[in-house]
Amino acid sequence: MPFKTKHKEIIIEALIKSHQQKVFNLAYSIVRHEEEARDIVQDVFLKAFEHLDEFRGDAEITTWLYRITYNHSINMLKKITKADFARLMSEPDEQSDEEPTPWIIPIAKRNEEADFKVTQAELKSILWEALDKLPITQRTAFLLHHYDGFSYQEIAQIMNKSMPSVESLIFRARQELKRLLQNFYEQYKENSKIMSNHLSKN
Amino acid sequence: MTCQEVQHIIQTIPHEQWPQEVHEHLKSCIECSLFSQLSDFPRELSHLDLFPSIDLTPQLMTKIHRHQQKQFRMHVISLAASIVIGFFIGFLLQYHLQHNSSNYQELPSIEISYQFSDMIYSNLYDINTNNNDHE
Repeated sequence: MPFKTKHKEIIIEALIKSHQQKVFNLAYSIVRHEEEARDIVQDVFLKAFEHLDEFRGDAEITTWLYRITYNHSINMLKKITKADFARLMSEPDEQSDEEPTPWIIPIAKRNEEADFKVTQAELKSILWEALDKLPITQRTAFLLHHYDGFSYQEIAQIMNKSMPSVESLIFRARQELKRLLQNFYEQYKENSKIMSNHLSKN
Repeated sequence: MTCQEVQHIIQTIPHEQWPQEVHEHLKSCIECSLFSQLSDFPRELSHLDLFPSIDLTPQLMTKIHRHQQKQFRMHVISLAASIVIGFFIGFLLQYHLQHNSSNYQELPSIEISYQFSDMIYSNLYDINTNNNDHE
């Protein structure tokens, strides 16, 4: 039985309030552009409103929301040149030997402030830098699991992949991130030594 | 505790089981602190605001209302179009019927005229035959 217009509005408002951030996170982790991700969120919820009568349960509509977000975000990416899209979607055949960009944390300033913990903003930048080096499918699956807390089964439904394939994507993402962050740490240690030597000489 | 020892513990022992000395060391050593944060990145993720925070509820609800109004307008337009088309079809039908009925009225008059001429002819014939009979 179709919902009454007023009921539809109440349902969609509840859906927006409870799922908009996760829908945005998914879109943003794919397109990596805030405005584009916001547009995707709006399109997705408008579509959800139009098709609300077709759903019978909350689980069904939430899975549908994320699946349509994933597909819509991938389609948005396709608007970028085809070559770029193919490169972003392809899984790397070999491990990239490219070193992460050096990230020099101002040690002297940090010592003055007696703050020995990397700030949230710094850690966030480091992680995004590493995450951006992953293929989109690996990055999306990894973030859906480790950040938004989706199960492998839910991710398989959202990304229209098999469970073993999702497990493999997340495993490879973890391995690659570990390698990239390790490289970053080594780079950081090198830079720290150089800076310490420079400071002691002065 | 040396940095090497601390980093070894970080890599081999789960976060919850780290000795107190490791925590103490992390408070005073930025390198090891960074090492621990980067090594434990999936757990660190949940503590980070990795994504910009959004609240699009008002914009979305406005958009939905506009969408509904647009749909309502579309319904009204389609209803009006249906009525216009209905009238047009009705007019055409009426015209067709009128045209047909005027043709229909002509047919009996032709038939009558035929019947009338037949009657005259037959009468004449009858007359003629009767005349012949008499003869």
